Amino acid sequence: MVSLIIAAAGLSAVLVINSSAKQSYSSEQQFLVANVTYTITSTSSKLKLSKQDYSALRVKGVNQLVAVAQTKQHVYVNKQRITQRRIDFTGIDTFSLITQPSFSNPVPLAEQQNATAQPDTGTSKASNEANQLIRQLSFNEPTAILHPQLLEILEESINANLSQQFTTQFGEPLAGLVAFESAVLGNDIIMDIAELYRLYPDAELSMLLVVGDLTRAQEDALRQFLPDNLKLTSANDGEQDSELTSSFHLNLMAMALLMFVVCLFIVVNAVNLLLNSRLTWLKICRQLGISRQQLFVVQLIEIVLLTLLASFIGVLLGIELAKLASPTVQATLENLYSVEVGFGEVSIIGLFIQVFGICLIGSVCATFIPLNKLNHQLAQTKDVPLSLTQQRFWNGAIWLSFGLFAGIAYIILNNAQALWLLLIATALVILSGCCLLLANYPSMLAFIQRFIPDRFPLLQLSSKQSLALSGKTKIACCAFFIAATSNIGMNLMVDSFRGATAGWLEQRLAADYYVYNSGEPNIAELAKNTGVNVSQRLENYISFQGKEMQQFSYPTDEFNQQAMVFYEQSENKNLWRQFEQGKGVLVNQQFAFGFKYQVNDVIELPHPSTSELSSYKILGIVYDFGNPYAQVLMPFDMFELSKSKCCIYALQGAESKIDLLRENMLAAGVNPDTQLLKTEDLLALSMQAFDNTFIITDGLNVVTLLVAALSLACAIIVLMNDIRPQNMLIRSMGVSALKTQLLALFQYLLLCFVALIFATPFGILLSWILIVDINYQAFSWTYPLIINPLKILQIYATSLLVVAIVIAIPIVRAGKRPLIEDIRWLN
Amino acid sequence: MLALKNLKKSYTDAGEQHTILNNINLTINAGDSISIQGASGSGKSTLLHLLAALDKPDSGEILLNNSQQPNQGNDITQFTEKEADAYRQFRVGLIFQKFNLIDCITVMENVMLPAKITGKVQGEYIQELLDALDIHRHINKLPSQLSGGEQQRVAIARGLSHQPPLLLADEPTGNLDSKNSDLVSHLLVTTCKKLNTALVMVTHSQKVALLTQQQWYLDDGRLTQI
Repeated sequence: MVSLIIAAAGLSAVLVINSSAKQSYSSEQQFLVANVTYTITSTSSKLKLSKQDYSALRVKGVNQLVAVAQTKQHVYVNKQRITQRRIDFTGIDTFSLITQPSFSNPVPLAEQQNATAQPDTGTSKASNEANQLIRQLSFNEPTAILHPQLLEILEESINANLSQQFTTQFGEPLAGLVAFESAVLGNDIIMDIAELYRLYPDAELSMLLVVGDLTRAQEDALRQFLPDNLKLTSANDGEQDSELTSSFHLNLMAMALLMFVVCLFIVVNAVNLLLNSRLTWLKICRQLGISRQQLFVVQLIEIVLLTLLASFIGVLLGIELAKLASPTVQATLENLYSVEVGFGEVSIIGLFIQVFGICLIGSVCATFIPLNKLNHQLAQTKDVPLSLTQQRFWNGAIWLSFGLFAGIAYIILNNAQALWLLLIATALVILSGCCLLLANYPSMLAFIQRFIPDRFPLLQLSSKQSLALSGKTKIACCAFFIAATSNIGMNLMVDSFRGATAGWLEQRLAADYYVYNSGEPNIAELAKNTGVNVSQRLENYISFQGKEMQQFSYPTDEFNQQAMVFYEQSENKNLWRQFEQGKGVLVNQQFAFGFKYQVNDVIELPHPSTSELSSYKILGIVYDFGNPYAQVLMPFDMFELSKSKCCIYALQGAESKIDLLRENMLAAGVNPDTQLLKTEDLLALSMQAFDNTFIITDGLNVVTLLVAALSLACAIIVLMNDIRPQNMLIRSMGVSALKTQLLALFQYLLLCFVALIFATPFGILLSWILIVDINYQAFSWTYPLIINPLKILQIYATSLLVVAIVIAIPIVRAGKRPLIEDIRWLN
Repeated sequence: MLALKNLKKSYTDAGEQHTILNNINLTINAGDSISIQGASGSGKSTLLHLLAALDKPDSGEILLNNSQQPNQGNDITQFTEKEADAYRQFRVGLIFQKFNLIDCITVMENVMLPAKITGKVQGEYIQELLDALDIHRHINKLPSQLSGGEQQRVAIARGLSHQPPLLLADEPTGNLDSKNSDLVSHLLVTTCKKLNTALVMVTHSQKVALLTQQQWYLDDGRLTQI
């Protein structure tokens, strides 16, 4: 029952987090305001949308605009911060909104769906309802709308009796908060823009919404009015990069799949052990004339009822677990995908049906196995080991399964490109590992036994008992193997990625300092007369094969040539000369893999300054981790400062010269403390962001291990009665209780150790598949696999420690029982 | 070897106290063979558990080496857990009604286990034991491949392999048919005699009891010699 609850709770928690994340992700592209047809945003995060832009467009007659401003802030009570993560305070120009004709006549839901061609997340309906609330924002006392769950979290921190109230950091009271159920709200508090500027005068405009349909002429006019720093995007365009969307969903899918498999294993293991422990009783029932069908039905009803109850408790626990985990998960997903993950609308009934369904599949499957065994054992009074023929049959079946799984996985990995097929192949690889482990447990344990000296008879005995246990805890051992394989695979992948990123950054960040500043003033101008050598990175956003991509400048001096990190490069010795002459370009992996190009292929691109289409040879493919865009690098000379934007400046110069530039920057109104970064600091910052990004991977690994260890612990609790006579016997020979407990622990740790040995090559293989196939398809980048033996040893130690801690509980509990009790029970 | 003095043991059931051993006095010398009979629940097994230092009496002493007065370290009822473990390891062999052989190891490994634990492995002695109990043909088999009688003979060999001065047998023939019961009990008594090991055997069978030198009967908490 506990196992079933653990499985249901784990699965529910992951499903709730997934659902919230997906809803929030969808809501990123949807709006609380109805009838939004276009949005106007800055072309780059470094180029801000200003109030002047807004007023200029309105002056030009674009009246359908509604400004939205945002700022991320903490909430305070009595000057104490009460929020763990910052809340998005969003201000909407409600006065402008409610004067829009389309606001008073919301488009019917069906029409909206047709117009936007987006899946129904309930958002459009919510938008219509939200319009009523938005109207309130403008005419009533200052009010702010937020998700009920966010309000609940905030209210947990205040004492209503003391009339405490929420304030800003500066003690400004927040307007009356009104809860509104909509996933669109996410982590936002929505208010009138005037109220937002009253609370946070420094809040920046994030976008302009175009409310209502635009005629073709209006749209063309609007595009003409837009300054260079702004772009117009259709609300049903998606805009976000497809790679980003797929990687985001891939991560969520992988999380759910992993939990699904582990959950299934736990359920099968628990039910199988439960029924196996009843085998004697069932045998008596059969001897008393109760038919196999009757027994099966009775057992099945019991299992279904147990699953039903466990699923119900598990779902409730899982929702609470998801709430507890949500701040960490939200923060990580924000780091990973820049997605504001808020609170989804969780349908408890839907969730219960999913969880119950999955648990039921496992339960019903597990019910068949022991009852089938019962049929064979009916006439026997004691358990008889499998005959040699039976052993050979099962061994052959396991080897056949291994070959089948491995073969299918090999074919898929070599031919398929669809992500879901690659994920299936990954699952098959892991399953083939399970088969290999089961087929080789006896020989591996026998091999290990050889190394235990004769002077440790109890250790020898324990290692032999491990073999017997492996037969009874097959499924739990497989669950542990899966957890260990995914642990090794994910860790090696992250480790390799970390190594590749660190190496790439260290080489690419070759200058002493970097300045990130979009628009005016030009830092190169400020650096004149300071002696600082400035190299500018100019950028254009162009369309290539219907997708938006980056066109970046790259300096061609010797120093920057050395800084370039190639994934693959042309064998041409004149690579840099051809690049400098504008005959060839360098592309990032995202470009090469995304558009299926190789080195020496010729592509047609617009010239960065003249926009004329010309042919360029791909001279090399470079690493560019973390960039969601396909990028092509061209020599600096081909760019024109007036036609391209400059956001990044690489600086080289002595500290005293940099100080002079700092002074110039300050005088020009640019804050050097935030804009000017020393390369070491930038590197440290980047690696910190990297590590934060993969917290969730570490967390998932530990959770999976923990679940597998719990599954093993549940198996031990059930098996305790099986090993009780042997423990009693050993204790009756004068072996201390502590020694007996340690021996029991040794048996299970030995099983886990063998599973780890098998998990190692499969983990490495998994990591290779993740890097070479899955990363390639999902993110369009790949990197060399680094196998760090120390990391693997660390995983061994962590895994065995987690298992030891979890299984120590039932073992110590059993060891505390006085020996006399065991003797009386047995005799 | 062991002297039981005024041993008392009672238990409480549903608020009512039952005395199962009342002033038990018994002396066990090296090489003695003693059988204890009695009705079910009369306290036979409890007495055996006290002798094995598995349980503690309410009062009374069990003195080692026939000491007349309790000294520090010779009253097994006062043993700490560690001392009791050492006592069982070196001085006592135990045989149970259910043979309790370890399934995953061979007959030979089962027999050798206590000897290996105590570090008293003597090849000749083990061989003699296997011959005496007529199980040398089965040494490489697994316990599941033996009959009940053969399994109990293995259990006897295991109980004696570390050469304990005292062998405690709790209804060793209770699970066997009469033919095997006769064979096993006969082998048990003769082997102990041959090895000069004291035997205390709890049994329901008068036929088995008659094989021992002393026959005692436990009734209403009192132990009386027949």
